[in-house]
Amino acid sequence: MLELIIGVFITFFTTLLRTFIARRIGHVGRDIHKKDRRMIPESAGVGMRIGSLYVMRALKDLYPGIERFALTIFLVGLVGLIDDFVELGPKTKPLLTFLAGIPALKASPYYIDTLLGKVRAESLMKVAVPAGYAVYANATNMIDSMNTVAVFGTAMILAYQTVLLKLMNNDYYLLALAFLLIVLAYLPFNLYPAHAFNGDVGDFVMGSMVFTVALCGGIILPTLVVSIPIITNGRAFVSSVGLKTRKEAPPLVEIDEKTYKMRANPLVKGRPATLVRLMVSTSGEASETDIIRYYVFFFLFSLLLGIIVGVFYV
Amino acid sequence: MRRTYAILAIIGLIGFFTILALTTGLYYIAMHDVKERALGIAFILLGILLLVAWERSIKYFGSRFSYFSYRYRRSL
Repeated sequence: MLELIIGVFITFFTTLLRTFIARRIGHVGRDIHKKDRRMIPESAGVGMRIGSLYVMRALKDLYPGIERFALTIFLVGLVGLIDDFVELGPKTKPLLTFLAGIPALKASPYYIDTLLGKVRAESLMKVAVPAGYAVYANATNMIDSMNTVAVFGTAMILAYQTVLLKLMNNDYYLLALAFLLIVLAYLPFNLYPAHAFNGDVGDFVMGSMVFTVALCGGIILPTLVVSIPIITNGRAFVSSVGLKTRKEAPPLVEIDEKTYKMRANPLVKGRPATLVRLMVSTSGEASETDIIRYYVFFFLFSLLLGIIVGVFYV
Repeated sequence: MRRTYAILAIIGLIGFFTILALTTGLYYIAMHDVKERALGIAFILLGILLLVAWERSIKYFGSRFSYFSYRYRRSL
């Protein structure tokens, strides 16, 4: 338990240090959804990367083969960190995160859990494990367009995984709890109004942590269900504009200069049909806090669906 | 807005059933019995159908209730 508390302190203080350094070296980004358009330190999620690697090292006696998952999280985080400084292409990022998932392959269980039971699917899992890391890392990054959303969503999913694994008497609940505490230690920095941006490094690490717990604990299906907002947004973005970065895609909303509320641009070919755009268009006009509220609702709704699925696992 | 919450719930439910259909399909396909495998393929096809519906629903609701749409302007 002491290791988990140390992990929380490491995450908090390295994030604090990172925000200080980022301000000093000018690695800051503009928060376009705020009236004052304040400059916010970038890549603060690096603290979660360090914290997660520390707890995985501390818990290595408990979980054999966890070093491979730690290596994957290290590599996925590294891809995110590089992308925060040197912009990688929209096709390079998924490819590199896919490759980063390969070390986890050897330690992964080769079965898929369903509502009816577990099935062994060795050849499928050889692709699904690295692909899962690529999907979770990039989809978490795609949902991170407003303060709080990605961190809150990840914290909720990890909390769900912790409780479910505990009820299943699965030892991996401690790993889920360690990751949850790390994300909670970071949450105050990105809570609306944010004092720091996660950066790709933070989003990639959060996505990798969720997928690692799902894989190790054998709870892929319940995790997919509670991740519905993340998956929905990622799928909608990719299916509408293909593999493009948010900057490359045409703007999906316009911000009113007086009220600072968002209005959805008409949906035409080549314009991303993301969840934010859907939320803005269905409500007519929406502020950043409205969007955060909608996302919180959507996450809680998928949590409810996750609880229904979880009953079959306990 | 209540409308937005309702639409998000609908999209969430479509996603939920898509995931269930696809994973159930995988389970039956892994079985040895021919009938069970056929059932698995049927579930996978249903999953693909729901997958398309999931994606289309976002575009449908997004364009139906746009700020620039006639329906929205009339309600102002």
